[in-house]
Amino acid sequence: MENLLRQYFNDSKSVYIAANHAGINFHTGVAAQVNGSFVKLYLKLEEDRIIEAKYNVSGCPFMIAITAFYVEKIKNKTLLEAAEIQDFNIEKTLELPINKKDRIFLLEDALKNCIKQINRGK
Amino acid sequence: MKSIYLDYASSTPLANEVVDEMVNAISNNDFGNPSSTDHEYGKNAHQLIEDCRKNVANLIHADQREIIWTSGATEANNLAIFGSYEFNLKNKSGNIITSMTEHKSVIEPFKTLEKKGLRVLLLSPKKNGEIDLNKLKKIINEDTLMVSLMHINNETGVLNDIESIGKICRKKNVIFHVDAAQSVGKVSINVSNLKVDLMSLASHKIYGPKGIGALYINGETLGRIAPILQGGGQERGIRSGTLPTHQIVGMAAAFRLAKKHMNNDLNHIRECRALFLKSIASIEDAVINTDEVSTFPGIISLCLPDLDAESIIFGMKKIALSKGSACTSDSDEPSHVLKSMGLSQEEIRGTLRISFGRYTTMNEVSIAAESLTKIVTHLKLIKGR
Repeated sequence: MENLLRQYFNDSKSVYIAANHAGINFHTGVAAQVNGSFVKLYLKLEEDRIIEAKYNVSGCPFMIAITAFYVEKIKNKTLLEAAEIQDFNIEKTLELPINKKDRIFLLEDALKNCIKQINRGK
Repeated sequence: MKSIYLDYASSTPLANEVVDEMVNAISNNDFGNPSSTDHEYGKNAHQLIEDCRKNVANLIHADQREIIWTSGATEANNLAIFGSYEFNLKNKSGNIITSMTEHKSVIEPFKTLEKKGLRVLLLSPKKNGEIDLNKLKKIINEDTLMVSLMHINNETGVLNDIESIGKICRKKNVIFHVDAAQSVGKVSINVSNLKVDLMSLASHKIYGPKGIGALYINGETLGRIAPILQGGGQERGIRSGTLPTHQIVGMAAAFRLAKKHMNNDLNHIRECRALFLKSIASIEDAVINTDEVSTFPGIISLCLPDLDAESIIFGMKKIALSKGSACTSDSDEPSHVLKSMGLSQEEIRGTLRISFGRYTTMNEVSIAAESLTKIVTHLKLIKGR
């Protein structure tokens, strides 16, 4: 498990880098905690399907790894499918300890905020 | 490959000489109960322990009769505080002064005494973490019964001026207890020149075994204490319990070595610190939470304000370091020490403790600095700002 966690922690291929991605029209959603942890999702859609997904994240190793894992999995999914976060088995796959499970809520909130932004634009 | 160990403030490996002496003590005929002095086994152990007491006393220039064995510095702190309370504070009303930067083994006993009716005055430190002597002078008064302040802070390395604090306390005739768990054997301590009544000593921070420590009780002054454990009345009735001969032998060996190596150790960790700081100079927003003048060089409290220390440590896979004190790093609670120094929650979240020791090599320091620089770059990239 540690290897998988570390693999996603170190993975930066889906990281949003302003210098590289500024021209792309992403929908964004951000969620933050008072301690400074945050997740920002960048989604590019065709119809309701996610054709490109990027992220920025700051937080504990679990927060970073679950964000990288989730963003990888939602590519080519519809928004509805992406919103069913429990279907991605993040907890089990990355073996989140009990005291780290709330990190998924932050991810959920970021997605909800992104969907709100998408709906506002419709 | 083993991890590079940079957590010497948390604990230290046993020195080879310490291991040898402990093994000898276990293997030889020194297994007798040191209180059973009716036969040679007990007498041998008793004699060995008294020799060790001399070694421990010698490091801090104390008299051997002023050393009481405990299970470690936590017990020594508890014994100093609750023992003083039981001996002569419980029938008095007044205040006790300590600091927000103390170890939990001092703060928690004082919280208990507060419930028993004593007033506990908590000194907030200066921005650099140091005890503010002017603040102490302002709040110490004729009602003050005891002052307890640490020598070197375990999280930040801040070195308090216990000589001046002692003078302030003595002038007011107030018991002064010092938690010297992080300083004994690392910096020179001469209790005969300090106005200290009680001092807690640890073994495992200076290459000795865990599970053993001592309380220095100044034989000529105010530091009188009652026992907090009831039993066979060992240690002149102050601390009951059969003494662990091999642990004591280990502590004494470590103290002897500390005396021998102190100057070299200090020079060595100064070099480690300088190299580390030079090697991470490219990390623009790294801040040391203390100032160089009043900090023990073996501990660096390093703040990377926009990052998460847990992630930095996770990313530095082959480096063993800590995000705060080992005693509190199991909990998600932000460090009470850094909080009292005025650091924001984000700054606390981004603070690492790096600590060097006798066995740290310059190559290890370079590898650690390179690893830190690399992970900081990665975390800043994924943070995106």
